[in-house]
Amino acid sequence: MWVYEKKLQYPVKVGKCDMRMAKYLYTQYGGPDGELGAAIRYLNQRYTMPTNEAKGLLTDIGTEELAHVEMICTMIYQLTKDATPQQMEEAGLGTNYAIRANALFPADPNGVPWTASYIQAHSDPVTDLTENMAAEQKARAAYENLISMTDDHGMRDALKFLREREVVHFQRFGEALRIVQEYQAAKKIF
Amino acid sequence: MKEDNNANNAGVGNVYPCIYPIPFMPQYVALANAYVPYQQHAKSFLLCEALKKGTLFPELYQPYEVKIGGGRHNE
Repeated sequence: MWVYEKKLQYPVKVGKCDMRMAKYLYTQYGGPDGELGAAIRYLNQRYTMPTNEAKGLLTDIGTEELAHVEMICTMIYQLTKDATPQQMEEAGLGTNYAIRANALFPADPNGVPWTASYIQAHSDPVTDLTENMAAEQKARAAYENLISMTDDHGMRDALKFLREREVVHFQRFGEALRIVQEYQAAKKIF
Repeated sequence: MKEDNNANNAGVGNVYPCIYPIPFMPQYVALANAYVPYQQHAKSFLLCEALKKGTLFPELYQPYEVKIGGGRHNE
């Protein structure tokens, strides 16, 4: 089960002047390397992990990814909540407005809905952990793209935090892989 | 280098015999395997600084420097 804390993992204060970023931020909401995919990937893979450390790590990181989904959604919402239809259109979100006005939706910047085909699960722990390490690198690169696309201080601040978390998660998945390698080697001996 | 692993041993030592402590890098490496160094040191930032930076650990803090030309007003 989960315990919800009614605050963001990291405070988000986005200026209104850079509304184009709302569209681009969608890549980290419902895009192929986004936070929603990360959360579902890890929380789904954890059951078949062979060690308690790997199970626990996937639970912890999967949970944190949900907190990142919340941060990304907050940023998008702060940018678009008071936007007029014309402003939405100018920000490239005219199609979003036509379908659902100012509501958010788990999709990529092109409006393609999030799909489970962005994730995979194999029950082979080396395979799954290697996928997760790649996923963290892809998300890190995506955050660097986003940071390079805005001058808004508040947005950059939050994006830099999220990017650093990808670096830390890569390290932790790598350590889980090391544990699994040692575990598999020990199992052959004893 | 190894004293930090005692904490790990306390929790799981009984579950998987002989895999702890995990060394910084494996003693024997095999082709077609990927290895990430296992974090050993536990130097830490002050908590308020850690939240700002996104990690508690100085050795894991690897900030991104925006490339020249990055940012829409610098194009």
